[in-house]
Amino acid sequence: MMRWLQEFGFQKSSYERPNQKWVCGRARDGQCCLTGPDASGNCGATAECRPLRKGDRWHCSRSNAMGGACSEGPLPDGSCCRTIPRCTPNRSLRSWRGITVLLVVGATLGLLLVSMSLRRGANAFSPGELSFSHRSVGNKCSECHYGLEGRPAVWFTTSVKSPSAHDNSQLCLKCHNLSGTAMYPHSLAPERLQSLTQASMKKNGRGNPSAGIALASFVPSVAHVGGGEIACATCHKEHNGKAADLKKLTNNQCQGCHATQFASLSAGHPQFAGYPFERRTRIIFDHETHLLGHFNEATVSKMAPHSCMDCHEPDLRGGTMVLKSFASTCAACHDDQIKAKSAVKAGVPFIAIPRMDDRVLKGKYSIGEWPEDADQPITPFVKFLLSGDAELRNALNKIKGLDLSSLPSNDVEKLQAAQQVAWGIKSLIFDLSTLGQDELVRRINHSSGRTLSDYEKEGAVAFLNAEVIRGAFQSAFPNLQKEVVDYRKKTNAAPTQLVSSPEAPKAGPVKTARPEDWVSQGGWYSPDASFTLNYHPRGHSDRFLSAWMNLTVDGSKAIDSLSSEALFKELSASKGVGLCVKCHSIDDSPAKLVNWMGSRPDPVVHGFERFSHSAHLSLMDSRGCLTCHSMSLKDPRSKGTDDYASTFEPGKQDPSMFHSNFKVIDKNVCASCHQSGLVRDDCLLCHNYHIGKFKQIAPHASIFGALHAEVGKD
Amino acid sequence: MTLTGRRYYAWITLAATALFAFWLDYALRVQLRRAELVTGISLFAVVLLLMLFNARKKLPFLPLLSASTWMQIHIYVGLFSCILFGLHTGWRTPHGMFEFTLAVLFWLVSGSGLVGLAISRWMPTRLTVHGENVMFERIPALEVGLRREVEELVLESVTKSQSTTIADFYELKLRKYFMKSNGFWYHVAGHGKPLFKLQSEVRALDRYLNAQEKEIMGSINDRILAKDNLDFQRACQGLLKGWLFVHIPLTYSMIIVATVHGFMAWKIS
Repeated sequence: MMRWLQEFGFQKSSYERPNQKWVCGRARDGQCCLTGPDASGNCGATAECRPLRKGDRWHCSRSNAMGGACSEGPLPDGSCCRTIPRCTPNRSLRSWRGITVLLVVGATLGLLLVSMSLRRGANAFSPGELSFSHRSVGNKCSECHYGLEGRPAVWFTTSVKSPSAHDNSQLCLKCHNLSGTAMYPHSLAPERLQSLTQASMKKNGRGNPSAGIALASFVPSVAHVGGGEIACATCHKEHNGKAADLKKLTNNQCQGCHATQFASLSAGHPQFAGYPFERRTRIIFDHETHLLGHFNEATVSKMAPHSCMDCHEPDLRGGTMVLKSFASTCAACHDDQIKAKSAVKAGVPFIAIPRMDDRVLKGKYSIGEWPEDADQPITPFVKFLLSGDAELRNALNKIKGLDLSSLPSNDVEKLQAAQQVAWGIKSLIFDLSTLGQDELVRRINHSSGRTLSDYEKEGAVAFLNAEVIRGAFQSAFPNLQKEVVDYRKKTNAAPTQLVSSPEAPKAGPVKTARPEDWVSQGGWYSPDASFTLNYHPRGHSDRFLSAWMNLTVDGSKAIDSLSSEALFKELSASKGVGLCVKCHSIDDSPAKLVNWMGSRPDPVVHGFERFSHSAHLSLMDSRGCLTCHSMSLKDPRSKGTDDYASTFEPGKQDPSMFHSNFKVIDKNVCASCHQSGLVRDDCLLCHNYHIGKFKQIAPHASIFGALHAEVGKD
Repeated sequence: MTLTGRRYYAWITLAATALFAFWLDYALRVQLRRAELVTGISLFAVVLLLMLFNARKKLPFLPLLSASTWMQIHIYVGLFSCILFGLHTGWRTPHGMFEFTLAVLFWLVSGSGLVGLAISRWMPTRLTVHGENVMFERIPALEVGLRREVEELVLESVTKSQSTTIADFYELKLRKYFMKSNGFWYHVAGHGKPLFKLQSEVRALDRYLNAQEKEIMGSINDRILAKDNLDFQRACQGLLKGWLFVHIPLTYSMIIVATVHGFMAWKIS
């Protein structure tokens, strides 16, 4: 049977004080005195009682709890005979707990202060490792956070004002060039976003949001507070480790801001509108007529492609299908066609001498020596080059439409104009033959109203050399130098004198190629006895033709827009030299240009949608690309008003007005795979957030500063 | 209202508040608002509220609800703080050293709190039914008293029976048993192995004792049982008091680190 240890009673139980700091040192032995230690931990023990004096005798006053009055009684001096030996008081459990608290608090504060004072203390306070993309930032907190320069201890003493997330976003934008509207939703200006929102609302309404979005709709979205600007860190959460995806957002988070909300791609996502073709093709190629017509012709069928991939290939990023080169696609059928019709026979007349009426152009209207057999019209090139001079421009306008070989003898104004033009042509030939290519470039710059780039100069000049010019016009103007110099002195215009053509050399035993045949692979030449300088295009991708077409496609900047437009009209005629515009479309918006290349993704342009063709190439069925791109065949009843070719008829230069060979992609084609449980169907799989044209910039680098620093070192 | 009724309403309130917190956190995250700021400030406020319980204990004279009410508030608000902490961290382990330290401190504080809650719910019943209830502070003195009594009985057995059987057994087994506390974790777990083992040896000794010795051994056995009860009381009450050595100091440490964390968050956001 268990021994019962305690007796309870007012004289039997000691009074415990566990909430005091100190306990008697003899408490462990069960001999605790009643006095106990004081608040400072000093033993308060003296004697078992304080004797009381009654009359002349001292009496013991020991309490009953300690056994009552002792038998020995007090000493004669009135002190107790039973002194209590002093003890060393012990701390109570509660006191030890207090000490533990102080130690832990001290250790915490100490560790914090040490960490804050260390040079690399910022590492300790980093909320996590940076993502792989930002690894170059290292542990320099101030690269991304205002006010966090130096050691952490300094952070507490710097500016009291906390920078906002928007302030810190400015530091992001030092490296990430996202335009001036970077912090607005989708990096779009508020007005543009508003118009897009209104268009979406008009077309799709509010949609049918999922329960998750509806549940969150009671809280206003980030786009609807704080002036509509969104700090970078709102979506891009850093310090989550090397492998963290900074672009990770849920569908609900994307849709939280959107006016039209829906559950998923397969449930509620609006049908695609005009995707993927938002404009007509740059290269004019009618898939329908080629696939159903030309490629079935016996002469062509051997060269016809077998699949779409014969002409198209993914770009380097795999996103867009781009056209393969001309050589590997169209050349098989069209190269000879281009060469056959691209002035092989006649070339492009660059400078030609017109027949002038020598009967009236004499005396004060004299034009000096002039070839008797000249009979070519003034070329558009010459008109363009002469148009840089105001007098010549006026003169050209005055003789516009006139037959220069039969001028009215009594129309002084026109005779003067004809004389000016004649001397203008001679001066042009003289300047080119003496000053060279630089003079041609100077005249082009002057007439076009802009300065050509080196690349444009090379194309426009096309290796023109002095010998060709001199050879072409030597016999026409034997004393050209003297005549032009005198004419420019205004002292003496040489009298008009017809120059006979030299006799053609007799054919020798060796067969000599005609000039136009001699340059069969391209170059400058002068047909026998024609007094013209022609250029023979070398076939497809001729730099001379493309340079001059680029130069004149937008005549608005030219000094004489009419001569510029006339030259472009000549070069871009449907049956013109090289047949360029048979395949290369001309746009008038957003800028006037000739589309020399098929569509190529611009790496700095970020649209709303993105798609990876590469990722889908292995997923097509036997229909190949037609699995997704259904053809939009011409309606036979339409009489050619709504087919692909009608888009490119002469005069139609608005690229946004078009009829595609292919239908708009059906959303269900995508949704058949991209749905819950099958393949990802999140918003960011197909959509970009930041929309616009963002040039890449090198972070933390100024080449010039670095170079100057290097030079300074040396 | 009965205890069960109070607990029922407390749990209902906790569940409703937690649901509201879950919804608010979800909605703020979906709308790309600063959910971590809201949960962080709320968590700090809740922890300060929890700390008021300790302050209330130091000010017993103030008429601010009873200590038991404060205790109940402390328990349920403490549970809510765990939910807030999970929402604040996104239910994942923080990556940075500083924030990981703060998280560990929170886990230790809340974990020790939950352990303390479990102990304070479980131990009192066991202490009540186990045997004589003694004050924790009196246990050393009672142990000394018991040891003296046993030593006196051993000497008595030698005097009366002229045999050292009990004395030898005391030296061999019982001295160590009465000198120190035994089987802490066995007592916490409610396992009687130390006592059972010693009593088996006492029973084995019984055949070597005469009548007088048997009587004395019976008295010693009573004290063995009393010592076992003291060991049990020391273990269980020690645990009841010991968990606060983790809970309270780390709470202060956590508050300091959380304050710095709050400053950092304010500074960098």
